[in-house]
Amino acid sequence: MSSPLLPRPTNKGVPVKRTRSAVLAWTPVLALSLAACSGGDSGGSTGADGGFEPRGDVTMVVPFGAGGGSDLAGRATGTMIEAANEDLTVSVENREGGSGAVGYSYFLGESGNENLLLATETALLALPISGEVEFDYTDFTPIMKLADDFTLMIVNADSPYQTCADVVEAAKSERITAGISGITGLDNIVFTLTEQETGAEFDRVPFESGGELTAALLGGQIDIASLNPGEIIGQLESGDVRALCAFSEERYDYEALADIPTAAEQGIDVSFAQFRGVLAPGGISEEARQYWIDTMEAAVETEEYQTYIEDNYLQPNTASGDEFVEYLEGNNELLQQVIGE
Amino acid sequence: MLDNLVLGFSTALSLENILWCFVGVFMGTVIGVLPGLGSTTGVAVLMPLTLGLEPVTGLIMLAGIYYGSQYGGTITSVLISTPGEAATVVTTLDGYQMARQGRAGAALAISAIGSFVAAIISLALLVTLAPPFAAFALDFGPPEMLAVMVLGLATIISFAGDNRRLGLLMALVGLLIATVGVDVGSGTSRFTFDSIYLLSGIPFVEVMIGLFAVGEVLNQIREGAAAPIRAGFRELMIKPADLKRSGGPILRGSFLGFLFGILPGAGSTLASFMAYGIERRVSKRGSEFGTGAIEGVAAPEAANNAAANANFVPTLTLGIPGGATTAVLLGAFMIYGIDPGPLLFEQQPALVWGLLASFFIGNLILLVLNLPLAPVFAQMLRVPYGYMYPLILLTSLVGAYSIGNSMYSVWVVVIFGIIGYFMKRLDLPMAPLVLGVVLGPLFEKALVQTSAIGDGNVGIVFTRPLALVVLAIAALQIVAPTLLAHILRRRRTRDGGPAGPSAAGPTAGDPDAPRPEFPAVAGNTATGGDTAAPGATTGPRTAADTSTSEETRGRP
Amino acid sequence: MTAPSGKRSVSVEHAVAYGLLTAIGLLALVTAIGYGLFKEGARVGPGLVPAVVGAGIALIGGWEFIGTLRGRRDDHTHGLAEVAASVTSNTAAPAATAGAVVADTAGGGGSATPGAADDDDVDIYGRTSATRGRQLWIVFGALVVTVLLVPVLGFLGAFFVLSVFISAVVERRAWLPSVVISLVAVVIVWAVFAQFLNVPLPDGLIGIGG
Repeated sequence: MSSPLLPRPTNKGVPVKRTRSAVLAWTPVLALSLAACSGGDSGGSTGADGGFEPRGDVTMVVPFGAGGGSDLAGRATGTMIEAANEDLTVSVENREGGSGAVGYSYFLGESGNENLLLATETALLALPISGEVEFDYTDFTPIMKLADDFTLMIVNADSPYQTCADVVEAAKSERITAGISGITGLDNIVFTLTEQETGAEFDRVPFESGGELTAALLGGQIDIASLNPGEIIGQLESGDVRALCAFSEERYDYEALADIPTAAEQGIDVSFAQFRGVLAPGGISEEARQYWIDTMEAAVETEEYQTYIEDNYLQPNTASGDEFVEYLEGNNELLQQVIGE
Repeated sequence: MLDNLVLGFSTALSLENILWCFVGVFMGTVIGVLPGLGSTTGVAVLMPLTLGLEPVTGLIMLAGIYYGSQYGGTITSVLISTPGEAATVVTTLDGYQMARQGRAGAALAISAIGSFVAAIISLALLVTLAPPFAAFALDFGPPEMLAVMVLGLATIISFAGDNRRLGLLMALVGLLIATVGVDVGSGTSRFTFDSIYLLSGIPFVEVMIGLFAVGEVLNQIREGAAAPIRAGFRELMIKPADLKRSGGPILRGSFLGFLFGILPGAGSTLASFMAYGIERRVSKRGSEFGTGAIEGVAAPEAANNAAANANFVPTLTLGIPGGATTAVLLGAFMIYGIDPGPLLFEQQPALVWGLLASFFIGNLILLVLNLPLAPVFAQMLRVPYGYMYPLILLTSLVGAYSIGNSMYSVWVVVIFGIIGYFMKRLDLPMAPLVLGVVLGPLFEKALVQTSAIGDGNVGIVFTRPLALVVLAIAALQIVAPTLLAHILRRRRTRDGGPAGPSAAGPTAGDPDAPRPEFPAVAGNTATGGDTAAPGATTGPRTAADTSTSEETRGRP
Repeated sequence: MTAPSGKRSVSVEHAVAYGLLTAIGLLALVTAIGYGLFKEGARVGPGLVPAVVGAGIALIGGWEFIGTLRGRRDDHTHGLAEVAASVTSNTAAPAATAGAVVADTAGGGGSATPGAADDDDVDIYGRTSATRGRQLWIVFGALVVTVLLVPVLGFLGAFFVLSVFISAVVERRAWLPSVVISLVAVVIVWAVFAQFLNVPLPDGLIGIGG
């Protein structure tokens, strides 16, 4: 990413609609558009040959705070884009609040802004279902799904349970406390799906983050939790906790996770992932949409993409453009059944 | 262990790391000095700057930013009664009064010294005892945390001044503010009036900026321009007597701070409040607290810094954030591609020990930087307030905006600014409200979790030995001051000192309190009719008079 | 307490504040009961904490409210009756023997009753209490207007205007230094926040700003 230490040269000469201040834009806009528009166009948002080029700085909106999973994804995506297209500079902007609602609502207001992207994940679907916001995924332009983040069922190392089937069996006769990180959290969705599938019942204890869940597991306050591998890998490797099964379609390839059976192998046909992806605002031109799809398709071929996936133990299941839309449709229906009462 | 420390220092003492540590401390201080901005905001706002560095260097710089912005927040707490975060709210109580008496330099110096001592003590504890402490912290499940929160709310008693009813009232208001937003337990949105902004609650930092920075500005306008504080350079320096008085408080504060700091959540805030409350009771000069007692600055500052270090116990040993700032730091770990967790010490010894050593170095830099600078900062008070306050308004609102890049934050600041003004004007104590807002979500979460774990029975809290111990301390906290005050009052009456609070009312006009004399200015005609306020001066608003706006009046 | 002179007797404002708090407490209580105090299995529900807190606020607030009306408050000497009396005596014998209490009372309501006699209690610039009360509201009003103007003038533009307005109009300093100081401040803020920290300050319609 660009070094924020460098002062940005001013450029007030470009009358483009955008929220980012004009002065933050790179000066070499002109040079950039000349170089990039092979058709020799001088840089309207749609060139003479239909080519689109973003003007100046591209902004990646992260609807969550600095340091969280979405922030990580947003920054990584920015790096990938810069690696795939050296002419682009992506700066990350955190707009947090309301479990993502503030960031998405801001994005909704930026309809038509072709210089803006957003690091999206399951909140895009969960928020509208919870009924507190005025947008749903059809208000935006899905560009690319980057990855899937599945969860593992985790117990304390001392737990009597060896498989997820054990837990489900036990839950039918006794009280099993399951920590969850929020009503619309991925873990709650997975537990609910498991309950619907097996008829078992888990007693929920609400927490607010993976870190809190980890502490509660280690301290023996709860029986089970469902966590992303990236959240728990440290404790897994140290042997303080055990993973009973993965709620994924296939086993992980990662060495550290390869031995964990899927839930389906244990007779529980549940798999659900949080997706990570990139959105553009609604109302952008078809050229811009295609430009961003092309850019992202190049971005997922970069080394930076591989690093991001591997560092966070994600599954590199990508889907671009219309495929992403299809995925969102299916995922939305499923979510609606689980959390949309 | 020793070789680990050697490894740590050899990592941290590379020229590059020292340089970036210095840059971090310096920039952190600059950010922290902006009204209302403290370490959490400082680290969050400056974090992107560190991403281009090596992980060790980046983390060392972040730790520097952490301490720097914490100290920066202390500077504003003392000089303009505007804390950067909840943990430095207590510092305003006596620190601001000291500044009003021309002793800002001493207050700032003792904060730097207290923080430094606390850093050394907590570093020693961290190095020797981190793993057992981490295990101990894990024993604090929801029922224990519930007990801790009760203890925390009980400390409000220490801050309510004479009128406990008002203290309780304000704490309740704080708790109510804290309930706005989506409920942890059920996902119900409460008091949100269909605003998406309110879904995540009323943001705490903005509330603080509003209440303290903007509220104080409005209050000062109302109180009128005070004569700029003229203090000679010698008065600005810390005196040996000050150091002697502060030794005990700093030590007690450090250990207390460390203890609370290892508990996840409100560690630092609780630690500073508790340290102040305890010091006020054990100190011979307990009655001077709130009127500019240096112990009242030394203890919470030491506690706050020790807690900040202890926050790293769960962060480094378990990968679980100990507080808001360490949560942001943990995010930085992830960005650097480091998996925090129990194996961190084994897998990344140079990084962990280098980071720990840099705490020491960072605090040393802070001390070296700030001891000579403290009197210089204090000179800021010579600037007439009329020049200062437009700038305070500007920076606090830009700061608020930069937290979430949202105008909503700015509106929260404006609204809480006028609320803060009225609270000062009506003598409603602010510290309990802040404590209520900070502890509210944690208290409710612990309550909901305890009830879930106990299958509907919150009473399980009484079956947990640790929780019982904590609850017993809380009970003591509530009962003790009454007893103590009773005893003190009797003794004082016998000594011919001022009678208890009942006679004088909660007033800063404590005849005991050291207050500077300001010459009367022309235009002052009324002198009589003020019998109910002993020790207060009528006439021009002098600096000392404005002191009553704080929630510091009275004795336990 | 009667004002240790930094504070005026502010009973009316106290009554209003406590009344308001009582109302908020009651409102919170009622709303919270609607959220559900308990969930199935006697679990703590979303309404429990706000309901208890709201009830507490209403109780204490109500107690203080009644106490203020009746002049019971040991730390706020005047009840409404006395306030009324002192205001009356104020008109009868302006700023003479009634002294500080009268002036204080008038000053306390300064925002509400400007023009009361309070020629004592001036600050080092010779401003009377009433003047300062007015100033307070001018500054606060200007602050609100400034925030409203951000979408038009941009963040820094609006705050530049605010800073100049306060220095030159409210504080009556010379125009040139006011403009220069404000400009310097805004440029520094722009450099630190917009340039260095990359904070996307709103730039308004004419592009002044971050």
